[in-house]
Amino acid sequence: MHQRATATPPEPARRPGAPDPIGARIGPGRGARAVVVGAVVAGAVVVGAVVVGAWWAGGRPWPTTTAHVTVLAVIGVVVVTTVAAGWGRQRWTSRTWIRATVRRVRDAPVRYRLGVALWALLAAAAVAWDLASFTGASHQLPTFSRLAGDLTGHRAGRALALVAWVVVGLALALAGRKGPDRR
Amino acid sequence: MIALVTGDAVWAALATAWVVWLVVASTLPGLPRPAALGRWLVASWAGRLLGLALWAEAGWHLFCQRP
Repeated sequence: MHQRATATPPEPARRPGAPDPIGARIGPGRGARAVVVGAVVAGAVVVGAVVVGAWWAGGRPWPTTTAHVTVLAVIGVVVVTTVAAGWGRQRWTSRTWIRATVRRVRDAPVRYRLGVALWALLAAAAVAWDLASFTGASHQLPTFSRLAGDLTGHRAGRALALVAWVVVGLALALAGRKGPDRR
Repeated sequence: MIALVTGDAVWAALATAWVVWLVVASTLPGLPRPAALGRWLVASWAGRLLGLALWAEAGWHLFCQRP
């Protein structure tokens, strides 16, 4: 039996990385790689900016105007980011969220409800003790900020705490959003 | 030598209770986990803004008030 000739001749082998016959040098996957490299570079720039900014801000102690303005500026940026990135992308409306929360706690097993109550109790105890220490204004009753001052009183500790605080703020701003609407 | 005062002991007890409960809630089934608390907070505008308000207050308290 003779084999029939195919309509198109087989493609000759090319050296790896050589341009294809029409001269295109951007092969499949190059665009995706460029996006990944761009994202890595952008991420490195953001991380670098946060670290440098935190080190700079870490050198500004708490009573200075610069420290107050810096913290207020970070809060402002995070709030603007929250609104800009989250507009139309919240998973639930606030009303649904409140109703679902009440229903979830009401209908949950006793074990779960006790867990929620214990979380709330621990948070309330910490806030109440901090307020009591603040109003007591005694050396015997240090506030949380005074204890934390052992860390934030030093430049490195303050910078580290600032980075952690910014990361939590950005997580609150960006996490949990649904994908953009495609209409 | 660090001189401990009454308030330090209360803070230490509170911190211990937090750590113990964090471990218990993270390991035993059927209890509300910390990650679930985070997901719950960011599920709507109301929760997200509540979280941001607490976050902003914590930052102001830590970085702008007496250390």
